[in-house]
Amino acid sequence: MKRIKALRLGIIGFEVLTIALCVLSVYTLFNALSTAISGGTLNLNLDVDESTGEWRFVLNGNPRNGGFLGITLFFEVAVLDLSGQDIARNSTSVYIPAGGANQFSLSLTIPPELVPGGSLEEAEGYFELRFAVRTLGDLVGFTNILKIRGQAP
Amino acid sequence: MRINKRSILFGVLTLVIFTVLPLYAQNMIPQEYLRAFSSQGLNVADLVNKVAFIGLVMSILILLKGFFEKTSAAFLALSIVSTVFWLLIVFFALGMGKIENLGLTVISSEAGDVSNTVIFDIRLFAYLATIIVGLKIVHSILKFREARLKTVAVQPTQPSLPTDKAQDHKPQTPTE
Repeated sequence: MKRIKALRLGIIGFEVLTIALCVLSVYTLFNALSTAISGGTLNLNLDVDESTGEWRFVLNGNPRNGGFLGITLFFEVAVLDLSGQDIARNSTSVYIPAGGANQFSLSLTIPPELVPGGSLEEAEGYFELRFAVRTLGDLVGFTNILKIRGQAP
Repeated sequence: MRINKRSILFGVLTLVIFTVLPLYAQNMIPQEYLRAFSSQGLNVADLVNKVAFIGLVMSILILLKGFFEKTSAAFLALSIVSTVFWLLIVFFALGMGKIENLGLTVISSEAGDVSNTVIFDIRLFAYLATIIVGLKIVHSILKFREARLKTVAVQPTQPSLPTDKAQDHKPQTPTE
């Protein structure tokens, strides 16, 4: 009798804990999406080094976490050729505690020989931006992969 | 066979909330919204039909449970089936309408030269829900066993009626 009651109480406790964790992590994820990547927290620059002809893509950010749990933000940028092979790829991740903020910087250099005519608009291939937010010890997460195809005019 | 009024009430409520209301509400959604959802890969009509089906099955299970005593094996079987069915509902909710996703949802859309893929990974809660359902099944079995033991203990032992033969062999008390 006592064993069954204890099991019942244990199940109820487990259910409450699971629901609470689910609500907290989903809230943290959506909060991160609405605050961390908006409101001018991210700064994107694309420059060409005139001396070497290299293209340099720089992503700077100071995202804030307004959620109840700590989050790990992951950013990855890549340039791929038309067959899907990597030309250049770089990534970074940053941990932001609950209610805190943290800085990060990500750069990607594209060699001049891979940009025909020196213009990225004329380059054929793909630009890929991957953004991920994970919380609850990286067990729950959201990932967004944006892929833009560049075509020669 | 008894009919539990509470089961009928909960069964009807489940049917109304999960089946009747979603099917009715579906007709009230403007067509342009449905088209917008559809372009994002979300089939609202299919989703509503699935919810309505879930509601129908749940209400049938609740009604059926009301027909059986808690000590019957049928009640235990229905309890286990409805617990497993709840797990499927959790998978349905976590997988955004797709049970087979088990909490890992991938939504892709493409417009011209731009493709966008969104991945929601909430598999952790699918695993936790599976553990909870396992524990609930163990609890149902233990409760069933306890109820059976109680019934056996409460039932008075039937005295064995003497047969004619037994009566014949019964030693006769000496008469004076």
